[in-house]
Amino acid sequence: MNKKILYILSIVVTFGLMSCDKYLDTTPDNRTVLDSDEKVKELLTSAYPEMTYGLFCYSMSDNVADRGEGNEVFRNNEQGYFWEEFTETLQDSPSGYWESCYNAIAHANQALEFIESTKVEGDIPFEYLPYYGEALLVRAYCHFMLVNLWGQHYNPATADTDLGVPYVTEVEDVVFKDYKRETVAKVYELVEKDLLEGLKHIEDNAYDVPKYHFNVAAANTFASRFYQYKGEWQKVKDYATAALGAHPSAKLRDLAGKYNLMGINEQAAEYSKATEPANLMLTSNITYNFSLFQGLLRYGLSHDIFSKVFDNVFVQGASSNAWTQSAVTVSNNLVVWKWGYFFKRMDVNADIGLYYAMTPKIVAEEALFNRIEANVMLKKYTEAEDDLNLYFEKRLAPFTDENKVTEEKITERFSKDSHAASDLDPWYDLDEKTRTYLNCAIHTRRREFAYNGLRWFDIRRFNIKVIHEVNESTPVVLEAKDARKVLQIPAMAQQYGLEANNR
Amino acid sequence: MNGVIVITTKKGRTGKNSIRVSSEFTIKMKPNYGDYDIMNSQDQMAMFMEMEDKGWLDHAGMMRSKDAGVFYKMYNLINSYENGKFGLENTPEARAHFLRRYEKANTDWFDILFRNSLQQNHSISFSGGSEASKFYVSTSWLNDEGWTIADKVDRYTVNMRGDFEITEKLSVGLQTKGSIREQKTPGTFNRTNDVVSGNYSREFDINPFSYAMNTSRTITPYDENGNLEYVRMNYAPFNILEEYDNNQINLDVLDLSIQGNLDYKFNKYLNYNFTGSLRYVKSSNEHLIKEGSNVVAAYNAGVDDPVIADDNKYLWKDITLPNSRPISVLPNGGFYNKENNTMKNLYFRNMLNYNRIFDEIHSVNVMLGQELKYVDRQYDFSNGYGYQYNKGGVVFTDPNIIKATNESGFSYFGMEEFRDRFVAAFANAAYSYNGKYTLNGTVRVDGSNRLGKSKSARYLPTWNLSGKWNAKEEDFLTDVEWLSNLSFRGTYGLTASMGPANNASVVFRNRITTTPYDSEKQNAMYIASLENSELTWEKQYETNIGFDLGLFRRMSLSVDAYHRKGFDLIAYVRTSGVGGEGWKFANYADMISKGVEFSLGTQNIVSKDFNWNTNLTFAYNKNEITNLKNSPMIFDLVKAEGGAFKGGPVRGLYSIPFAGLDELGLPQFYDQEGNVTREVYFQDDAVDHLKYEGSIDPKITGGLSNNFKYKNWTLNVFCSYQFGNVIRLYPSFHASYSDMDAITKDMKNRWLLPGDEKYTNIPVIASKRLKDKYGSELESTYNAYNYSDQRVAKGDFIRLKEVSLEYKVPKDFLKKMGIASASLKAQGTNLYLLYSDKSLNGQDPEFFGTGGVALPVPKQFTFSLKLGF
Repeated sequence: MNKKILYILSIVVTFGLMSCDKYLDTTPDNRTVLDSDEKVKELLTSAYPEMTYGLFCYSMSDNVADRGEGNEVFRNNEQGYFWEEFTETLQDSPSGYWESCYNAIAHANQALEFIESTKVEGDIPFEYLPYYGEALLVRAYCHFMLVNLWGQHYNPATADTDLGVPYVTEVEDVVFKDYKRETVAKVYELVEKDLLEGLKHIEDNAYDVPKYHFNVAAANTFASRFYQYKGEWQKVKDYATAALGAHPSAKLRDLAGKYNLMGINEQAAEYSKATEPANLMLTSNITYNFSLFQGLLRYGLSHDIFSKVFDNVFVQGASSNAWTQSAVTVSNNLVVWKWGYFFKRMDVNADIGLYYAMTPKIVAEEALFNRIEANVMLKKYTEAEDDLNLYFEKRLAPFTDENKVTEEKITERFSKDSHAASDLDPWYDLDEKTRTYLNCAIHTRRREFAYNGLRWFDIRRFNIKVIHEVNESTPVVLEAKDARKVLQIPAMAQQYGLEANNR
Repeated sequence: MNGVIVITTKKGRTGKNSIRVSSEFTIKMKPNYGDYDIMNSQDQMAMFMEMEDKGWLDHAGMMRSKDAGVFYKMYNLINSYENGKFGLENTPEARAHFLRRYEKANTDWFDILFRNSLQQNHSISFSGGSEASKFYVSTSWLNDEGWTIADKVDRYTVNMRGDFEITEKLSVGLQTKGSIREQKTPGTFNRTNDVVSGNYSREFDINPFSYAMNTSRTITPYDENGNLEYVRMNYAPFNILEEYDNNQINLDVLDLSIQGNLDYKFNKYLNYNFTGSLRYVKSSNEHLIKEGSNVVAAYNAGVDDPVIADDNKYLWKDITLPNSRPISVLPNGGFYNKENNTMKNLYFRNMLNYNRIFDEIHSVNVMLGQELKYVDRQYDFSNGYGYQYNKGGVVFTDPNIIKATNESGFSYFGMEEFRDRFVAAFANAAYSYNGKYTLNGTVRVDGSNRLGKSKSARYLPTWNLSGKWNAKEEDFLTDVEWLSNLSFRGTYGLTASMGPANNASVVFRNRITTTPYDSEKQNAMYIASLENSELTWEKQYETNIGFDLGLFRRMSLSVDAYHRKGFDLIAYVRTSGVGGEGWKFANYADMISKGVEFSLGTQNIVSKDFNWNTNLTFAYNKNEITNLKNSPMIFDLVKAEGGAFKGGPVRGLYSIPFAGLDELGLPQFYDQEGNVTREVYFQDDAVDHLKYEGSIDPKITGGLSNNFKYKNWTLNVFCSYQFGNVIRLYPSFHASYSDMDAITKDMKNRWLLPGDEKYTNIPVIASKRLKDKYGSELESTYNAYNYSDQRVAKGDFIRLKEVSLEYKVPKDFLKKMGIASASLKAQGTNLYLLYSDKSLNGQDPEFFGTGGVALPVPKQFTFSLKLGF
């Protein structure tokens, strides 16, 4: 009897243990698995930072002034204006952007890890190739943004010792992993590697909405930005040309034409639509950085800065020939009207929610300005002039031959004058004519990128001094070579062993 | 911790069939303003006048505000012009006259929204059977007409059980339990989690208790002529009484379980037991929001009023038409929203039990078992838009509401599934020598699917060892008369439970991207949690020692001391963010918890007719977090629920140190350098300067019960107490106030004139000018006051919890009537708070946190009658 029982029991136990594992394989909820090229595509759709650098970079730049008490005090705006250590961790804060970039990188790495596993005889199946390219570009772009906010600007003389950021190429599978800061040179080297490999595989028709991904034009523009920071001008020119195509003019934002006929609400909507040809890459961001809020901030565009930046030698003075971008007054403050916002409710019936903006992250104008700068550096001044004319044609109305750029006009206005608090002082040498043309290119560019934060990167790479006036107090100054041009590593990352930047 | 409770209920008994009938009537008493910290209408009107002097409650501002009370009504009347006359003349006299009515109103919201309600519960049961088969059948009906005017519950239950001895070796039992609940409650929406502030908010909250607690007593539900009177909520007219008629939830719950068990005796020693059960629960929730409700009105408010149209977030603007005006997406009818929750639960257990006594002194028990649990849950909802309640239920949906819902990334219907799979195997061995020394050892292995697909963290073995020494059985003690009982016991073991993390492998979820235009939306997948290859169960080593002592057969004392060392506890930890996830759930916390439990029972008087027993219980617990890798921000530690911090208790409450009022009456605080400041930043992670107030959980809890029995009468008096916890008072202070909200009585002692800062710590009502100057920073100054050491009270209390009197009708008397037993009982619960902290202004510390959809436990009286045949 007892033997029989033992016999039955041992069968039950063996059988039980085998089926147990299978029984416990049941997924506990509606989670998905990564198992197809379609899923990889969807995973990479989340590989674009949801936070953005626009507002804090803008606040630190020389495009802002103190508009006085009574305006909206916003911590990221105020701490940026005084180049203090940022304390916020959510939207529009450096710490939020840091996390958001690394989150995007994690998505890219997760996708790459899976793509690696699909290899057949060492080759990635063709249906995965465009996403392989996209993942590499995301990884390159995010690290590039990180190193240019938290590391010194690239300078071949010091890049081998300047501290950059950790370059993450593996999926994190433990709670706390040790990371160390690579040098700026090393980060640039890895960015270049990912960028060049990725660029080979990008395909626009692999995406549902290409403008929300690294499409060919966006990837080429990013490549031109990368080589611009490295000072490899022929490459800048080539990639910019690849991005702009044969008819650059058709890709530029037609402020003088289409936009000029619209009301401000329509302009704001048009500005961040995927159908706008100038928008090469958009990202959906949780941010307060949109036109209406830019008008409420205490530290923003003043009438002074407006006239300084938008008053222009190429505008011939007559009111009929004017800068066509609308400048709007919001609660007594001036705003150059750009993109709008989208309010997303927290819940179906909630009246609280988050403000989103569909931010144009890479635009055709950037490719154009990168090419202008490259041509200046390559001393192809006529080509630079031609591109400037293409630009002004879309910004000035009416635009006639009289308004065209000439060497004379440029020299008159920009010789020995950067229109900033100090001269342009990059790591490479400039002769007098180059400097004059560069002054013109960088100053014109400043106007185009007034709110999107790119000016901050120009302030870094040309070692420009910034003076911020303070209401009823003495101005604060950011010197040409100031330690605060490098953001401080977020507190938590420091706690986990990342070396802090000097202060 | 993962054990499953198998319901063991009344079984039938052999012999004569018996019938039991019981009826219970409970009266719940209305809450009373004496128990809550709410200003009366005179004091509040004085406060409004001060606010008006300081630039608040002005005409233009009130007409623009989202929620508004008396002042809005006044300006609205001034604005209205009919029959050649203004609704109210804009003169100081007319205005003062208008406000006087509300100053005197002193509306008793508890009286209006609550009633001294009756709840009745009737049940009848039959039992009987023979040696071979036994049965038990019962049914009951509970009816509660509602403590508030918007609640109602009916519940029906049935319970059947049969036990059958088929052969001498085999017996089986079958049981079916079922209940149906029908409930009506005020309409509520799910709460919204504000990720930015970390707070929850609930739109259109009409919970009667929250409404009474938060609404100013200057507001009146009826006007002078007895008609309903309206205030403004969400830019639309609102009257709470009308809202209950037009916004309600019907909840139906069906709960059915079937359980069977089988016992087989192989021989005298070996026994097999099988238990299996199936439980099925279905609850459906029907939310009716009719045309006359404030919710529907809010979706239409401001359509023709440009002053509020842009501010009313319930209106919708077509983004494809940038120049269009906001429009209503619910022009017809109201909402008909449904939610369903279903659960199917299967459970099996197999056990082999070997029990034998050798030589009459060695008792051995060995048990082997296995159990399996299977739970499938499903939640689904669908929202119906444009159901026309007043037009025969014809549906007239505006497609824009679907568009608007989609735009924000929501859907009008949805479904979610959850699957819980669990297996365990266990073995237990016990040995006892002569009943004096007992040793017991258990080993078990649990497995679950909850941690994710990875196999590394799926199973967890645990064990337990215990021993007992029954000293009274020793030869040298058996003869000691006064010692009626003495035994010692101890256990040591490892237990484990599953924490809130499920990412043993990476967790991907899906979403739709956030973009304004449908043509730009995409399906996306995101990493909800990265893989945590180190994930494991939460574990705890527990040591327990205790003794039982009985003296003179009159007194019994039981003492237990325990020490629990928790480790691998799941904490929400901050990371460097470089891996892609800034916050993670991980096994990164350790905790030590220790305590003593003590219970003393005495029989003070024992006689034929009169007995008096006393029972005192006392428990002391202290816990400390010994390791926690987190870096909390100020708000995490000062909030009412408390926060975890290394070296402190699990839920410790900390305060911003208050530094007195300044010469303007504004609150000041000390920062981490010890400087006095008005600026406090709640997201700051410099927290060392915060003042530790204590734990949210009481250190000492217990009760004292006295039981008096005289012949057929039994009187029981029970007091409960707790000590050693702290409470964060309601965040009542703000940079500005509305003419709607109820205010704490503390506001009466507020700073009024320069110099007052020497005598009071209650801040000034800030002027509009001051608010404009400091902007939103002023609100954070006031909020810091709410979370300062000034706004903390002790949670200690002693309460007369229960008094009951029971009368058992004498058997002799009943016999004549053919009744076997009968008893009558009257009971009062939550009768009186004997002691509590004065700074609570009369509020009950035990129910301090109630609100939202919950109601506090009321003072109640129950009368019950039990009959047995």
